[in-house]
Amino acid sequence: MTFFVRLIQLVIIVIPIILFGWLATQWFVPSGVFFSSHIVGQASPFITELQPSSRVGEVRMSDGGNWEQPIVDDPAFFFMHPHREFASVDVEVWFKNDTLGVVELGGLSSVEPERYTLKPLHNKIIEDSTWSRIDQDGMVLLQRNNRYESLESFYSNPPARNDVAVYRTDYDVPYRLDSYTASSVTKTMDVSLRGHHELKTYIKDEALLFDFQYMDMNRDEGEDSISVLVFNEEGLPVAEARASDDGNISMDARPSGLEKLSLRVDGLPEGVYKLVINAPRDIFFRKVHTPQSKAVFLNTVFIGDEVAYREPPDGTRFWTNTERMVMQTRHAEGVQDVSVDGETLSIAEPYQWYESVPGDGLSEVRVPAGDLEIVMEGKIAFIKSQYFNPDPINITAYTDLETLDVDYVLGEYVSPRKEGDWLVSIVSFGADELYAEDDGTWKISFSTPLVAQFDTEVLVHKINTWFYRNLPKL
Amino acid sequence: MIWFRKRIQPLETIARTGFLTSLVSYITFWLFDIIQPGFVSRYFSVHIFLLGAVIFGLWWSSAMDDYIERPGIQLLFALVFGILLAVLTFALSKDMSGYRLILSLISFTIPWIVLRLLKS
Repeated sequence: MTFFVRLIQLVIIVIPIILFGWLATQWFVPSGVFFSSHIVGQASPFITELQPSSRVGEVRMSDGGNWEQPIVDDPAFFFMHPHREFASVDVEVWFKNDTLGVVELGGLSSVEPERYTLKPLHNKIIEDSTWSRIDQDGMVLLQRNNRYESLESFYSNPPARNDVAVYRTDYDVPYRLDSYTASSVTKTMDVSLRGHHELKTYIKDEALLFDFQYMDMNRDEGEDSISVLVFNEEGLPVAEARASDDGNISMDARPSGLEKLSLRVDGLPEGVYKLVINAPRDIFFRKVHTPQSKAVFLNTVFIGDEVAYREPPDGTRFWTNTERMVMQTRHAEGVQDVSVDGETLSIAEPYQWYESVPGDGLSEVRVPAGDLEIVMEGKIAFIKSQYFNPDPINITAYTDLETLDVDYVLGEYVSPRKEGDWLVSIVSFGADELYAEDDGTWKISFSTPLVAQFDTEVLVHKINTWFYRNLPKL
Repeated sequence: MIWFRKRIQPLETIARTGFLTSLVSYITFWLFDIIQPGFVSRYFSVHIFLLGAVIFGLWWSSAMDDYIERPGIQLLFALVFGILLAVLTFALSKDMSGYRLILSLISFTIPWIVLRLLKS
């Protein structure tokens, strides 16, 4: 009798010890890999449901007996809540896409401004192409005419730069302007740009020269320092200029005077250089002076308001090659009629994104009142003659491959595998590519451009994740 | 003097083990979940141990034939829980400004009141 009592006592005591051990294993992840799976409609402590409800439909049972949830507008997103620090994560998505040209998964990589690192899930432009196709080591090469037998032969004897379109990869053949001549005349971009921006310029037998005139508007608490980093074609930093805070770290909205940050780099070899302007939202660049003949901003610009600078605001005008852009203002004063190639796009209310699809070629955009965030994939020139596009043509959701004036497509892309009716793709994010909130939360977004315009849907069934941690070396 | 070997009461012994194990587990898991949010609650509710403690506690009280009064330990428990409650109340009542200290003192007295009620 005593033996059985002791045995039961032992079992009662051992159960929580085993539970604790299991929880500790989950926490420490001694294997280095932590797996979590989420089927839509089922709660998971690691992956949230797809959001917002206005862009996704109700979870439903498919004909095949699987739960599925439609994405009906762009972008839908979810959050991942890793329970500890991880070095990287693989995200496997089970989905269906019958219509859209490009479906991608993006990790939120910064919040000011909001940027995503996009990676492909499904590219129907590549999948449906009748061009000859080579898949090798995670890369894909499409050829209008079958000239190369392998990627090695393509890389060893690459075609001209303007013959190639790329998808989520770089093309290493350097961009060169044969007829380029340096200018000694300083040009002024008279535009208010708020916070972080990136631009590219072309240098040949000249110094790289930029003078930024800016104001610290002191609307947010904290220091507002600026750095401008210059990167060469290999992505290596070659120069830097810095400016410290104006001395006012309060949020009293008392602006500094017009300050100046100068950047001069001599002796640079010919090529395209990228300038990354790191500045908080309190910094408003009012004018940019440069003798450079070519200078374009990249992808996202935040046209600032001109309160306490010049009133009424002058706004700005720019030229862009983008096929699609979205824009929003955050203030009632930013409500305005934007002109895109002469057509009016009304920014009717704050905190609402408005879309413009200008199509091919260079489009002229007039922003009469400023105070507008503009997000796109393309180049932006505030002086028309400075426009150039040093990057190869990108394959986007708006691309018609047959009419594109290229003979090759090079992409970092692996076709999804088939699991029954589902397409399954895996994308990997390094922790350094993802912006982590205070509690370690990562935001992941589906990019499904044109899903609402085509009145179609992308169905999601399951999201599997493998979190990897760097184990200490023993 | 006659020596009696203490006889094991099987049900009481099991119930007592279950109660104490559940109580210690509840406090331990709960503390770990506070120190590292989600450590337990991502997988199951820590209050499952409280439920266990209540069930085993009720069982133990019904199976117990006699018990030994230990006033020193009772006072120690009341003191520890009183301090714990007072600290928790003070930490969680930032918005109560002027009432914060009074609320903490009231919290401190709760274990003493409960102890008195149980004894009465």
